[in-house]
Amino acid sequence: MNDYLSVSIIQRVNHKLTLEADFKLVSGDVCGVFGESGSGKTTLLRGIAGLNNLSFAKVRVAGDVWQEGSAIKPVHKRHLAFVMQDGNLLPHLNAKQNIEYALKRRLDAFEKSFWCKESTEEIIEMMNIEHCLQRFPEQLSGGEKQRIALARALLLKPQVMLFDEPLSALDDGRKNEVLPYLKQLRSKTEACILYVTHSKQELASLANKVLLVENGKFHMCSNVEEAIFPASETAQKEVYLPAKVEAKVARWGMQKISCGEQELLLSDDREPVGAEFRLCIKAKDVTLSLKQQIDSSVLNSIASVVIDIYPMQDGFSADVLLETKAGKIWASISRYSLDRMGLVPGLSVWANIKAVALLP
Amino acid sequence: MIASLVSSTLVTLKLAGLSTLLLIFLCCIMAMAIKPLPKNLANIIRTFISIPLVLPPVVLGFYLLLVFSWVGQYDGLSLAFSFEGLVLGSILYSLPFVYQPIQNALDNISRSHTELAATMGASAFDRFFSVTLPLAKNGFISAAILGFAHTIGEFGVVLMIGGNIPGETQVLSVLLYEYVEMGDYNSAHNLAAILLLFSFSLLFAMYHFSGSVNAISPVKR
Repeated sequence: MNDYLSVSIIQRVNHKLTLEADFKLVSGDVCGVFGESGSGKTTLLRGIAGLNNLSFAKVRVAGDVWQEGSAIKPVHKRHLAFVMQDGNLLPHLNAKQNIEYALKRRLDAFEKSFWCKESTEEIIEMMNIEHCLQRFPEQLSGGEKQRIALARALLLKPQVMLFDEPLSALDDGRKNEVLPYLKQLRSKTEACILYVTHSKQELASLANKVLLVENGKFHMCSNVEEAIFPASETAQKEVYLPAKVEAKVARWGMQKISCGEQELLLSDDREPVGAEFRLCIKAKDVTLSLKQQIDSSVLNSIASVVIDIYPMQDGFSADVLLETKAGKIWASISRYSLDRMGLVPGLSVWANIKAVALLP
Repeated sequence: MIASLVSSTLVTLKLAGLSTLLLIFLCCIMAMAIKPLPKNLANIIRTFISIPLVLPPVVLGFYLLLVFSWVGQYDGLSLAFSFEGLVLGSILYSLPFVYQPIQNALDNISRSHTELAATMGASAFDRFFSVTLPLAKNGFISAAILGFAHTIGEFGVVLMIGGNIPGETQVLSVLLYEYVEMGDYNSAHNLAAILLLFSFSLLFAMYHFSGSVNAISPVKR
């Protein structure tokens, strides 16, 4: 596929920050932008939108020059949708008028019949905003306002969508209310999406690429997993997997849990049968063996395949990424074992899970 | 009495209406032009605009009279003792009362709103009419009411540059002065009561729309 959005910037923003970015996205990409506060994420987005004048930036969208040298397309001519943390609605217009404000200016032939189209109704329904279209921003909750802004972004069908922490102004309950709608974005649009967030959870569930930023320097990672849990990081790797209680083994005080297509045996924590929760499996709690451990105290020895091996910087340990029926998990082992067992990507091994944590 | 009252009322309303209308446009343009200027220069201009707040109107009238006669020397245009001259005088006299609420209202509009409109496809011109003006609406209403009311109360300037020509420059306040001079206290009473009631209703309307006196308070820093 051809490059859809290409951005190339080297520019001093102020005495502390110099932006350096050079990346390309294809149509349909959802690119997470991840990094500390003040590292230039918002500046980058505003630069792409044309709200901040980054005079040394080159921005092209679908072959169209947005900014290059003296050729600068004014903000209102850039076909984009920008959803910020808050303040995405004009206070003197109601929700519907706010959406129309953009539609009238962006779509060539906007008519009232637009609202009756099936595709429009589908989006309104998906965002669940039917009931608040006639209300003014001050009468709407934070979650409703963000959902209206997201619906507007979808209805516009822009070339580029810029999201600057669209969920961060919301409390956890509201976040979970909006997140499912965001997940559907990718299937509903051909635009490429830049999504600034501090949340690894949002990144993992939404993005297919990650732009990591440190002190104004942007670095593209096409492996989201790797970006969130970088191999160079000695921090503990852990995975969260959805799981469900299947049955109790009363005699031994155990319970059978299904996790993906894998069945696991855990000690009974008095969850009812059918309860759903998440399993947290830490890399240090997983050991590897070439044969299934049936003669040891380990309860769960599950079949897996080595996907990748990340040698650690300390020189003596390695983290191994495994594919199992339960999902991807990490195992932290020594280089000595790695060598002795002859582990290579593609090899089938048994992962012995010593401990798991159950999270609601 | 009725005839002169009616003609004076008409002159007064015409003067106040025309001055207010011109002032709204003028102040709106000035407020936007001054905003991007360096702080010191902007403050000098704002001081000039505010002078009529403290200057005795007679002083303003006196200088205007000098300027009018100086202009008249060159192209024979006689602004003194004419309705046009009065409009010019009223504009200067009521300038701060219209300018201040408009500037406050425009300053209070968050840049994020106009930026938001830009990302939704509105050009600068479009943004002014679709975002700035609607959001500054109350400020404009206060400005119009204050400008109108203040022009109706104008006396010193009118007396200096407009004189007392019935149907041309004789406004209500001057008419009242004339009644008193002639000892016609009955008419003076009636007219004074009308003016008082009128001022009250206008200011009441202003509070109703803007809900505060912020409209005439100095610029927030």
